[in-house]
Amino acid sequence: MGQGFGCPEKSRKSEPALNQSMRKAEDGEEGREEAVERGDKKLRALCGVADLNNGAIGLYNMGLSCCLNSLLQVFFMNTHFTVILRRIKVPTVDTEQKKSVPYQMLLLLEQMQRSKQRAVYPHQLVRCLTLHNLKLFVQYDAAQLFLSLWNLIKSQITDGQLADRLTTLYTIRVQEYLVCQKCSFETKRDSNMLTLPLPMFNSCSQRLKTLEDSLCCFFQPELLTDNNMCLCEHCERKTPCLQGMRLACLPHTLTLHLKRFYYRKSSWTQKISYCLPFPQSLDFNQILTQEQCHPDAKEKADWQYDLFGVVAHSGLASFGHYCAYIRSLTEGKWYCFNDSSVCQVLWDDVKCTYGNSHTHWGETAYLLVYMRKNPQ
Amino acid sequence: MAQWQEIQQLEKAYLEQVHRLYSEDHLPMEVRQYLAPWLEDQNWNRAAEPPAAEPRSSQAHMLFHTLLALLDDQYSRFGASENDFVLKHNLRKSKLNLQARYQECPEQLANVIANLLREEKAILSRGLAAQQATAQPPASAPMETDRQQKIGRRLGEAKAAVQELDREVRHLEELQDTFDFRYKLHRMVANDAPPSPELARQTEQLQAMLNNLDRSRKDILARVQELLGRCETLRDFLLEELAEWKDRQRRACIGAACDTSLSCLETWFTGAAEVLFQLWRLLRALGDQHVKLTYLHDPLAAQRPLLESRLQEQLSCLLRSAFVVEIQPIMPFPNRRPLVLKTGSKFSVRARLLVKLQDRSHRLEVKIILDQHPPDVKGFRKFNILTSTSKTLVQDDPQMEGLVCDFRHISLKDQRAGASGKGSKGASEGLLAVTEELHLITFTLDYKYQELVLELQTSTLPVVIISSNNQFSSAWASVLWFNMLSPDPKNLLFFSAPPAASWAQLAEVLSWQFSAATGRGLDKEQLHMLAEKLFGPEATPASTLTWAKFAKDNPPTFSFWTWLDGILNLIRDHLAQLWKDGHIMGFVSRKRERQLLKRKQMGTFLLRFSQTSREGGITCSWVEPGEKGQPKVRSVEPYTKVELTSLPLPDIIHDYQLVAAENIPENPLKFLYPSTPRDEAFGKYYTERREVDLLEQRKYLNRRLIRVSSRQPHEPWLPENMVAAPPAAEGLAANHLEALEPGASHVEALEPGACGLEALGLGVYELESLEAGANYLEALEPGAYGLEALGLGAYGLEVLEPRRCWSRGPVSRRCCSRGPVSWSRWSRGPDSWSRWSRGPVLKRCWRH
Repeated sequence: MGQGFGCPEKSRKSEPALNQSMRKAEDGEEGREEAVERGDKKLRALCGVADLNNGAIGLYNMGLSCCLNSLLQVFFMNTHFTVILRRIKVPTVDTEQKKSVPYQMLLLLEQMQRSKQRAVYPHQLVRCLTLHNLKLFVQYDAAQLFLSLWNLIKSQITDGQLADRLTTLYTIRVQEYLVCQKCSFETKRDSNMLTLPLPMFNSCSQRLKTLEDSLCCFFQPELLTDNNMCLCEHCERKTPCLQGMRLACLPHTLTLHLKRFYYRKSSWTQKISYCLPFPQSLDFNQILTQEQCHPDAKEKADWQYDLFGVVAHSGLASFGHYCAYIRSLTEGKWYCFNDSSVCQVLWDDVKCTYGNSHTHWGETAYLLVYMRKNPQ
Repeated sequence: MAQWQEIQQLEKAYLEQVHRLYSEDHLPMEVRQYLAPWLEDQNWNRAAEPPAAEPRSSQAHMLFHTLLALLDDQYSRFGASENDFVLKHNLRKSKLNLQARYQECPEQLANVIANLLREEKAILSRGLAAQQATAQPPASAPMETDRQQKIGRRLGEAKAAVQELDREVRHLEELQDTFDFRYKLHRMVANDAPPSPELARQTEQLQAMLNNLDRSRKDILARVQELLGRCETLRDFLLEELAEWKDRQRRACIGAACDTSLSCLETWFTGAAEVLFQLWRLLRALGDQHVKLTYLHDPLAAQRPLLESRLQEQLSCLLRSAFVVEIQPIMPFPNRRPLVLKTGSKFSVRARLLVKLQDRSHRLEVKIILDQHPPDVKGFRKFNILTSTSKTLVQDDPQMEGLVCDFRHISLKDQRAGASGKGSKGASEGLLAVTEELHLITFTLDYKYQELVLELQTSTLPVVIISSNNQFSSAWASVLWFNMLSPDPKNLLFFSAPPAASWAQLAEVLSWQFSAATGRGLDKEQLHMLAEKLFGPEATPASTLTWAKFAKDNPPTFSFWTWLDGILNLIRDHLAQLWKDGHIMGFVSRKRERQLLKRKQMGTFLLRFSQTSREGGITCSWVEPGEKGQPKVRSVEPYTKVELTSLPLPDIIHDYQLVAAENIPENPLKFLYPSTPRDEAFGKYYTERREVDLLEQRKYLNRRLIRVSSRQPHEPWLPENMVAAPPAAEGLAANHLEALEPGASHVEALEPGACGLEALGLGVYELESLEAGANYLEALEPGAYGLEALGLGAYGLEVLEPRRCWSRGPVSRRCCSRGPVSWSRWSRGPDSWSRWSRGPVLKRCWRH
């Protein structure tokens, strides 16, 4: 398969100085690799027919680390993220280097780009994550791991401005409100979210038909009564309340989380594998009503999104495998990242992750990453 | 096919790229050529890039030396001929070059070969894609849809991928065996000897080998994972394709012309199953490797069970959907209407498994069951399937393609033997009428292949079981309604609340009924008339018709379907060719008919189906000058199967006579709408008239029946707006079966209408003496003149001499009405007839 891997290369060009400094920190295998590279280049120049570079690079499974691998690929294929990653301050002390998640990620990214192999081992990064209590051989929930990973990255970026950029790139800002049904007193609270946890069922336990329906349902205000009643400051007692959410700001990279796993009392975690189609492009202006948007919400015209990545889960809730489908931002082609194996796929393959009620082991989308449409 | 072979079949532009690829002496092309299969079977990537700690390039070394040895081998195979001499020289040179160049760095050669192979693959895929793109437009076969192309491509990719995996699994095994051997050796040595630097180095090497093994295992697992993902998409495509086939089959059952061939699907399903089964074998092989050698955090231990479950689920899903009913239950008679079965009558049905794998060692037996899960409805009838209920799937029957199971000559028997049927119980007992009660025939197959054991099931579309032929029509209505409307092909209680059909749906299905029976469907105008009949002038495609209105007879009236099916039968039995050739406009309202005919030449006619006949009737309507010069449209009383059985419609049209008081009888049917002369339109359908051989002595004269209508002078035409009144609706009253053409022992002649004049017997003797036979009548055009002529004959033979004389209407009528008297007088006069019998003379005079 002769696919290119345009995006990271572009950013590499923009940061040559950093690259130089990075090289030194690399393992000692460079000499040999370069020799091979030279031979390769020669051949490539000779033929001039194809890009011999294998392109997208896989990551070896280090022991149930398919979840981590998928998330890493989603991070790495996102040029908006890698631009930030490449600007981080490299820790000077060796021990700090080993503990720094963003730095180790950067190293891994470099390694992947220069690798002549089809896949590389994320040894260092995994070791680094272990220091932060993210252990190997544990089945992670991709949504949880995404939060942990992101928080680690953010907290370890020392440059405040850069950290802010990362925050803007990923966080969704909403305003939660609670309206007392007795006195109409409204309590508001702004909050930030990294993902929108979208339900598979509506409040009446009916299956939601599409992602759009699920989003609508998520922003649907809910009436809290009986046991769920809240204390109203105004009435000074528990009253029935209307609880809801107004969308204030959507980030450039929007992560949606389908709540396919659910816990039943006295039973294992179950996976819901029925079909929930998601679109390739999403326009929030068509989904949300005026009341569901924050009055101050700006850039509403920009609330147009294209699907960028799908982290899909196959298998059972307690025993499964993750892989990632990612659309290359430069070529617009879809790739499937299955640990060390990477291949180009079609939208039909991505559609396969909509789910199917008749199969239990097949791939179903779990995290959906949407990217804001380019203004052009 | 091997890569190298495929490459050589590429187009010029791509071959050029291959040549460029081999232009530098990295690897001479002759080496590539001679060692093609071996080269393609080695794992050059791993030889080129061994893991860091592995003994440097041992694999590459090994491959390098094998390559040289193989070249020597090839060299020795050349003969002593002149051609071979040059080849030998070249090959020797290549070998020496390779040796000189890569002796020190065999991994470089490995790298070159790996890259070359990869490059070739890229060129090949581009070349094939281009070939496909150019080959597409002139393809004579029906255009493949986008999805069909995708299926083909994906299947090819999956096959290639699984082949490659197969190779890798074998390499992995070799790798593992080597490690295993060395490890055991090392352990033996290490147990006895004290630790030494040499031993430590060996341990390190072993660790590196194990790391390499681990990496290879991970690689393979990741690729199986990937392939499974791709296969899932393939499976989804196949299921969509199958669903479309099922839909086509469903529509074909109710008369649509659809392609229901399964050969394409069989190829795909079989291909997909082969890939999955091969993958299944590979996973087993990996399982065996895991048993032989495992270690802490062995990826095989953690991931293989997951992959196996997923693969098994995919295989089951594929196999389950691959078991289909190829031919829905159908009785041999009356054919073309499947899914209606009569108790005690033979029927056949065929199941087929689309996954047709070779080397099956298990016998596959199919069981057939009626109503496996009967609905919980009171009075739901139960039946036994008679004779055998199981049969073996036949693979290699030369008469049939595919893996099929053909149930023939089976029949149903009501379990309540001797029961008088449901009809007697009335509606109070059972919820559903007999023809609304749906039954399912289910096939069960215990499938076994390579330790995969599955129970496959498939069901027919619901069938209606009747016990008497007169239920056939309404049973078929149920089949139509169900297959047109039911979203669930297994909903046996569909008729407990049948939905309404929109006209758009119904129109299509009605048209299919005609096209299936005769090859000609209904056109827009005809459908429009039906729509107006059902929904009135405001009919739209969205107008809906309830099931009851469509098919429930409500005596004394009858339902739309009964009416239409009557017409269908009439067409099928008596009018097939006329209908097929488009001479029957058929479905046209009286109003529309008037509009059409009034603007046409006098004598223009069309054929129309009666709207009031339960059995199906057809009538002619024509336009003729009416009072005050206004064109009038008249219709004859409809012909039904009773008449058409004895006389075909074209002949009726040809010989049709209108006997009127004020003018001579004539055939009012001159031009078939819009303006085809009658004989031009119907000429080829006329029954062939036997020309009489004058020389031959014949015992009888031949005869034929013709139709005549007459109008009494005192019986005025109905005003047009009243024509629709039921009794007279079909036109002229009572025109009776009448006869002419001398020939038989007597001639029947019916006087118009109520008079009911009986046929007059002319003695055999007399008529025979006429001799002129049929010629006589044919000469008279139109035929009914003959009647007049006979009447005239009574008056006196002299009158006959010049034709003009007897053609005066009133005279003839008068003599006719005298009827019996004159006839009887006639028949008493053999002498006078015998005078006639001097044929030739007489004939001439009739003819002129």
